[in-house]
Amino acid sequence: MSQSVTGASGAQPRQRALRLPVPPPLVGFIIRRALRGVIVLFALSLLAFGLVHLLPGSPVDTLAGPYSDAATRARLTTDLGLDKPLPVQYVTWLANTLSGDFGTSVFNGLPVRELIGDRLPNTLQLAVFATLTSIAWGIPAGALSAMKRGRLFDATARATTFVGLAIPVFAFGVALVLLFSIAFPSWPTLGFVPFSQDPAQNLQSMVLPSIALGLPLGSTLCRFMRSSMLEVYEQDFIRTALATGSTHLQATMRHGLRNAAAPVATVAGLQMAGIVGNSILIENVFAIPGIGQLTVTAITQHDVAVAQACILVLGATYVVLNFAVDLLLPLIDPQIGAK
Amino acid sequence: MSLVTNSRRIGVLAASLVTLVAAVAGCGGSSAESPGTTASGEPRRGGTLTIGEDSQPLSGFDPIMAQSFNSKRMVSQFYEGLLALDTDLETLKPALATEWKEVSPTEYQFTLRENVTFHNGEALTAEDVKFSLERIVDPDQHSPYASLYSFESIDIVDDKTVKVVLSRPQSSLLHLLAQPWSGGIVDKSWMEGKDKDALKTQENGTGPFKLQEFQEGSLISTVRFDGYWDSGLPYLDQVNYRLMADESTRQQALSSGAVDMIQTRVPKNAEALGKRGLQVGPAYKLTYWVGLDVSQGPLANEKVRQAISLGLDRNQLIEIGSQGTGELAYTIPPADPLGTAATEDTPFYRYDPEQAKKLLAESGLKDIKLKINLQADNSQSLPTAQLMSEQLKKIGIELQVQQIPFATLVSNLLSGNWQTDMIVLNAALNADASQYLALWFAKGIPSTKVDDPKLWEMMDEAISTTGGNDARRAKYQEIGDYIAQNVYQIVPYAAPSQFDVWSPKVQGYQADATGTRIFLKNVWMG
Amino acid sequence: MTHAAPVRVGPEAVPNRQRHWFAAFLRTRREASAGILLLVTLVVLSMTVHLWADYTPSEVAGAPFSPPSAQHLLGTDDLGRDYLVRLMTAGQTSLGIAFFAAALALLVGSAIGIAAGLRGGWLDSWLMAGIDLVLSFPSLLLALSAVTVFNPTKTILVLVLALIAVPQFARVVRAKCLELREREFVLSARVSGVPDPVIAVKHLLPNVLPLMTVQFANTAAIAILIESSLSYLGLGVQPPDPSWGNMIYAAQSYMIECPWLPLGPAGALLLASFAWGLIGEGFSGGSRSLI
Repeated sequence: MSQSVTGASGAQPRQRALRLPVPPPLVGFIIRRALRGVIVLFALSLLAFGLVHLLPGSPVDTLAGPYSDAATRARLTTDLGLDKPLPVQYVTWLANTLSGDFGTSVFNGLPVRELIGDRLPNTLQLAVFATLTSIAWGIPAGALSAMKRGRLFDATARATTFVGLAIPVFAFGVALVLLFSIAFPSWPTLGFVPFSQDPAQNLQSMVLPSIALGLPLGSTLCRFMRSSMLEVYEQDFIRTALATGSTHLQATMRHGLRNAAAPVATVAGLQMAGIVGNSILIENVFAIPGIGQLTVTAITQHDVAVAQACILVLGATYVVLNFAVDLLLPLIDPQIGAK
Repeated sequence: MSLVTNSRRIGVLAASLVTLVAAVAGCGGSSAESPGTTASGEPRRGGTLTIGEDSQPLSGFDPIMAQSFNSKRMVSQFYEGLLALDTDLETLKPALATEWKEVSPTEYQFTLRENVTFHNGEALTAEDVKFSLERIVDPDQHSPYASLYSFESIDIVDDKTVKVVLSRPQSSLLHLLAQPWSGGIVDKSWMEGKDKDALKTQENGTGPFKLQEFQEGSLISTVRFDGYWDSGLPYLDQVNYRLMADESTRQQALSSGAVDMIQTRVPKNAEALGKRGLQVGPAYKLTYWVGLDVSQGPLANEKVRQAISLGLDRNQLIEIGSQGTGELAYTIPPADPLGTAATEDTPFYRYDPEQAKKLLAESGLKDIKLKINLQADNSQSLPTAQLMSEQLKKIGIELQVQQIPFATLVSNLLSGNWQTDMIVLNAALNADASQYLALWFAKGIPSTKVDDPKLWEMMDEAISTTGGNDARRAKYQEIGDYIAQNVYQIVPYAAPSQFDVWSPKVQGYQADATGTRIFLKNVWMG
Repeated sequence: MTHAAPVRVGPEAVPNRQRHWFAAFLRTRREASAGILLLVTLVVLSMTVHLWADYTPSEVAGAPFSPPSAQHLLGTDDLGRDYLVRLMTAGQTSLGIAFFAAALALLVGSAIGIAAGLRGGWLDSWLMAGIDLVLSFPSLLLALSAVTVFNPTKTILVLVLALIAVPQFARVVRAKCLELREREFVLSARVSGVPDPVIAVKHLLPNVLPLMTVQFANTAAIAILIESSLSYLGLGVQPPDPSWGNMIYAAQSYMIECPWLPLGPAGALLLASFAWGLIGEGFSGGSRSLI
C-alpha cells in the first residue's frame, strides 16, 4: 500500500542495496531517533527537577507554611533531602520517579502517582474522542472538498478550516459552552463525570470538549486530505481509471482515498502529539479533571511535586508519541527512512 | 518572657490571617431581616441532595487543618465539637457535651453525652476528648487554631467528665469549641493508626454524615450516619458534592435541576438565579480590607491618608465594586457578632474630593505614587482596587494595582516586608473580634505598621471588657472610629463573598454566616 | 500550535528581479492583501484608541454590564468601562507581544539558520541538535514552565514566545540555505574568496526573505494564540493590564448573563490570528498543498 505514493520509488532499491552491509538505513534511523528520544527525556527530567530549585522561595516555605519556626524548617529541609548537593538530589529524585514514586501533593496529601493515575484516563478519553471527532469530519470534508474543487462546498470547508486553525481552542470552547447554554438552557449538565461513575453522563459531558478540540485538529486533517487527494488526481492511475470508464466517484474511492491515506495518517499521528498542549486548555475550560488541569493548578499553587510529575508525564507522552510517528513514517513512506 | 509573648502573638496573627483570608473568604453575622430558611410541610426522611461545589477540600478532611471554605464545609458534616452553635451563631447549644460549667475564669468542666459513637462504631470517651483537644495545640500538628487556645491542661475527671484548665481567662473558648473545625472531636484509637496524609482523604467523626466515596477531582459522596446521636436526624439519605469549578456550569446545573444547590461568587448571577425562582441565601457581609503601610513613604503622612479616605467614593465602590451588595464598614466585619456598621458620619468616610485635594496640598507632597497589592487568584477583589485607582486619580494620586500570588502576599505581610504601600485582604468570620484587629495592629510584631500606644491600650481594654456583648460591641465601635480618624486602614466596604443558591425542592435549609452549611442535617427534600 | 503547515515558498531566487515583490504580492495575492488590510485596521484602531475613543480604558463610562448600544458599541464590563476601548487597549498588548516575539524569533532564528546552513559541519550539527531538543517539547508546556519560574512580565512573555518560535525559524531558513549553498552564484562568490558574512547578507538574505516573511506571519499567528492561552490560564499578561486572553477568563463568570463579554475578545483574537494566517498563506505563494 505504501509503494508508489510518489514517483521517486525507482531510486529506492538501488540506494538500499548499496548500504546493505552496514546497518540498514531504517535500523540506523530508528536507533538515531530512539537515542534522541532518550536525550530529550533526560533534558525533560532536568527541566522538571530544575523547576523546584528555580522557583522563587523554597519548597520548605510552602510545606511548613508562613507560621513555622526555624526548627521545623530545618527538619523539613533534612527530610526533603534539600541539604544534600544538587547532583545527589537529582539522582535520588530520578530514582524515586523511575520507580514510580512521584512524591505527595502538599495540598491534599494524595500520592502524586494516584492523582495522575486518576486523571490520566480522563485526558486519554478526551484525546481519543477529539481525534475521532477530527477524523470524522476532517477526512470526509477534505475528500469531498477535493472532489468538488472550487465549488461552494469547497469554499465553505476551506473557510471552516481557516477559522478552525485561527481560533484558540479555549476561546472556541468558551464560545461553545455559551452557545450551548443559550440554545439548551435546561440541559441537565453535571460538569464532568468520569466514565466509571456514570457512562451516559460521561458521554454527555465529553461532547462539547471533543468538538472544541476536534475542530482545529480536523482542520489540519481536512487541509491535508484535500491536498493529498488533489495530488493523487493528477497521477496516472486515476487518469487511467477514469479513461477505462470508472466514474469519478468510483475512481476516488478505489485509488484516491487509499493513496491519500498514508500522508494523512502521518498528520493525524502528529496531531495526537498536539493534543498534549491543547488538552491543558480544554480541560481548564470544561473543568475536566485531567492531567492538563492538574498541571495548571499545581503550577499556580506551587505544588512542586505534582507540577514536576505533570511536566514529566506530559512531556514524555509527547516525546513517545513523536517517536511513534517517526517509526511509522518509514513504514508508510520508505523514502524517509533512507534520508 | 517577652519572646514567648511575641511568638504567641505571631501565632495568633498568622492563625487568624489564614482563617480569615483563605482563598474564598468566609461569611459572617446576620442581617436579621432575611432568615434565609425555606420550609413547607413536615420534614421527611430519605432522598439525595446534590450540591455543585466550586472547589474540593484544599487541606483535606482533618478538622483542625481546615482553613479554607471548601474544607470547612466537609468537616462540618463529618465532625462535631463539644458544643454547637445555634443559628444566630452566637448562642451555644449542647452537642457532644450535654452540659458545661465555668468553674472559674480559667477552668471549665464538660459532661459528655451518652451513647455517642464515631462513624466506625467506636464509642466516644473522655480519652478521645482529651486527645482531640491536646492534638489541636500539639506543635507538631501545625494547626492554625493552636494559638487561639491557652490550655494549661486537659484532665479526665471520670468517664463522662472532662476538665479544661486555662493558663489565662479566654472569653472565646466556648465559641472555638463549638466550631466543628476549631474544636472537632476525633477518635483517639483510629487517629493513632493514621499518618497525616491519610487524614486528608479519610474521616471518622461523630457528625450526621459520613464519607462514602472520595473521587478526587469530581465527586465526594456522603451518606447518612445511622448511628447519629440526635435522633431522627439527619433527614437526607445521601449528599453528593459534585465538583464544578466553572461558575456558568454551576449556574446551568442548578437552573436545569441537575443539582439542588450551588454557591455563586458573583452577585449578578445570584440575582439572575433569584429571578428564575431559585432560593438565594442571605448575604453575610465581610470586610474588604486595605491595609496601609503607615510607617514609611507618603502614607506616613496623616494628611495624605485622610485625603485618600476622603477621595474614595465609597458609594460608587459599593455600587459597582461590590455590585450593590456592600455596606459601609469598620475593620471588624459587620457580620461578626461584635461588629457594627459604619456610616457616612464615620470620620473621613463621606466623599469629598475638594477637601481631599486641600489636605494633599497641605501635606506638601506632590506627585504621589502608591502601589496596592492583592491576591492573584481572587478575581473578586480586583475590580474594587481598579476602581479605587480610578477615583484617586481624580485627586491627583496614582495608585498602581498589582496582583501577586497569595502565598507571596501572606509572607510579605507577616514578615513586615510589604514591598508595597497597600495590601488588600478579604475577611472571613473569626472566632473572636479581637483577632481582626490583632491581624493588622497587634503590638510588637513585624507585620504591624502602626506605632500608637493609645490604640494598643484600647485594644487591650476591649479584650478584658466584661459585661456582655453590648459593652464589648461599643468598645469595638470606638476603636473603629479611632482607626478611621487616623486612617490606619482603609475600609471601602463590607460585602458578601459568596451566596448559597438552592432549588425550592430543598426544604429547611438554613444558610449560615460561616458559609459552611453547618445546619445541613436539618434539610429534607420536598 | 496547529498552524505549522509546511511552507513552500514560491518566488525563486533571482535577486535583482525582486525589488518590487512586495507590491506585486499585493496585486496578485488577494489573501495576503486581505490579511494585511485586516491587520492594519486592528493595529491602527488599537494604537490610536486614545485618540478616537470617548473614554479611557479604565474610567467608569456607564452602568456596569450594559449590553451593546449606540453609546457603547460592545457594551460595558463589570465596572462599567467601555468594552470596545478595553478591547482595543488589550489589542496593543496582545498584538504587540506577538509582533515583538515574532520579530525576535526572526532575528535569532534566521541568524542561526543562515549560520548553520552556510557553514555546515559541526556548527550545523550542534545547532540543529539543540533545535531538535527544543522542538521535542510541547510548546505550551515549555511556556508554562518558563512563566512558573519567572514572573510573567510582558518582556518575559516576548522572550518565551520567541524561544518557542526560534527553532522552526532556524529550521526553515537552514533548509533553504543548504539548498542555496549549492547554487552557482553562492559557489562562485565563495570561490572568489568573499567572506561568509558578506555572502550571508548579499546572497542568502535576499533569497530567504520571502520565506522569512511567511514564517514571520505564521509565528505571529501562533504567538497570539499561545499568549492568549497563557493569559487565559492566568499565567500570561497579568490584570489589571488587559489582554484578550485574560479578558475571556474574567468574562467567563458572567458568560450566561452577559454573552458579549467573552465573545468580544474571542472575536478579536480570531480576527488577529486570522489576519496573520492570511498573510502567511498569501505570501507562501499559494502552493497547492496549502489549499
